[in-house]
Amino acid sequence: MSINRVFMFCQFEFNRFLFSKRGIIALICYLLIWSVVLVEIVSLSADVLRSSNFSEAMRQLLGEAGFAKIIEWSVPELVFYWVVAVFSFPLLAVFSSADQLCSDKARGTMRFLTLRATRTEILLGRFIGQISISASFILISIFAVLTLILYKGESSITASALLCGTIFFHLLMMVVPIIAFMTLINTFSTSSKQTIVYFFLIIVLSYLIIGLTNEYLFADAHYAQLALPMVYWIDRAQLSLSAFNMWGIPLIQTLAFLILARIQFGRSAI
Amino acid sequence: MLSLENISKSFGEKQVLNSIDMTIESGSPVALIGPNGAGKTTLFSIIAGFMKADRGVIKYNNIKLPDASQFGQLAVLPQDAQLDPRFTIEKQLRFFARLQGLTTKASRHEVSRILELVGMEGERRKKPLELSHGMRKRVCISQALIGRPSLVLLDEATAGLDPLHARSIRELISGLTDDVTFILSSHDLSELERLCERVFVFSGGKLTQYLNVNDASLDNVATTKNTDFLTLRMRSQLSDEIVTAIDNMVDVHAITATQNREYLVEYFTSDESFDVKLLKFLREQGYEYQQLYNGKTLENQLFLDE
Repeated sequence: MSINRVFMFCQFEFNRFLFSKRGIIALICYLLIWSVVLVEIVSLSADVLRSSNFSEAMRQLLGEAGFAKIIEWSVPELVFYWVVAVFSFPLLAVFSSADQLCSDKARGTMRFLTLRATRTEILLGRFIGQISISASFILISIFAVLTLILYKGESSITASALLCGTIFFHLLMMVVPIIAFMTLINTFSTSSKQTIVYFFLIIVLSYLIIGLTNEYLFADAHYAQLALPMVYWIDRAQLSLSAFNMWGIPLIQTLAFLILARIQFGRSAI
Repeated sequence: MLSLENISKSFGEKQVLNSIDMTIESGSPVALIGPNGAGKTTLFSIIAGFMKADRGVIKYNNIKLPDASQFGQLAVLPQDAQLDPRFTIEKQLRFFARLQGLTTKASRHEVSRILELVGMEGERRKKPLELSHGMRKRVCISQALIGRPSLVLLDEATAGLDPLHARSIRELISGLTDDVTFILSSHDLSELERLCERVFVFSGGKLTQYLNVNDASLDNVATTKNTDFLTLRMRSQLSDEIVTAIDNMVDVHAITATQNREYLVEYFTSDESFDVKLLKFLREQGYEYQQLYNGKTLENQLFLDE
């Protein structure tokens, strides 16, 4: 395997996303939504959390929602940034990584690529490219929230920067298995829309079946959730997971999805 | 040298390729011919690595394929493959060149050379959808020529093209045969006859014949010396008057309705632009053609003639 070719695919994936209509629309929506979120939700909610009148009520509310650990953060802006980011970035990753292989396969462009690169290089390059896209989106929003914190001047910038680093890695750990799962779906889907539909169908149906099985048939059936990319999503948002579940499970899932994707991609005719 | 040993492939119950053994030495162009379903495209796809054979081994220069060391050595024009419509053709060709190991600077020079070769240097900044069908085909051929490959497989390189574009592609191939070994598949026998000296005939997933144009055996397949054939597939049935009018044309020797909406026109080869004239005449009479082959279609040639 050539690292250079993997890097080239990764770089081209970045361009492919930004030059597509879908990518440009996603970027514009992302910037607009995050501007509103930062100014209207993060900034104002942080002010409420700081004010002596509403602080206790807000803490109680977030505590009830399971975010007790997060409230202890010394930077209120990041508390609300986290709550929004933890639910929005995984969804953004689903949409942005929906077309890693499928349109090239359907159009025949993949044939031009496999004459010049191995399927492993293509798959890995596209996957890493998608991680770079999601990581860039996360970083842009983190820089924006840091700017907001700096502008307001009410929290320590060092503490904020350190927390931002932690948040970045947590968010990345959430999106990486999702992107790998999308890579796997891409090996058999024929369009980005179909990939997105398959993703939600698989997730919803799997959780439904596992839930029912767990309830009525087999008490340990919930372990099957470990095979799904969004397992422990809520627990992760509440940062109430053990270190292994926090870091180990997503990495093992990612590896498993990529291996399955490689096997399926290698076997399929293009 | 490309060698295929015992290549077999089935799709479900249907055996598409059945124990194909063949060796192709470097040199003059080679033709793979056979009717629809004979297994030509499947064989191309297996050689190119687009799909796996159920059995058998393919070697190129004694290296078992697929092998990363052969990237850039073996090139293919896949049937119906398209470039990404979002990027300019230059950007995509440069990306292909860089994947083949060329530096950024070298890839720029190589793409300029290739686009000049296929006569498309003026279209480099265009996106595929801004080009005509014929030009898109040229671009797809140009990707196969990046990095001076030693073996190029062209699957139906002129299918669906108008006679002028088809002719220019034949000329392009003819001009490169000293450096590149081409393997071509086409329904158009006269096209292959003009380009190729070696011919492999496929039927029902089997390699049934090997012919050489210098051998007397090819006389069975070749068309007559003074006339050539055009196969026209029309969008609607030609009226008897139009068929008679074509038959009465000075350049036409005979016209035969071979099957529904398909006509075989035998014409005198002294007029090189006969195909263009005929299409103009039909357009003036309000008829649109669906497909045109220079020569008899293989089905006509090998089977209807029997």
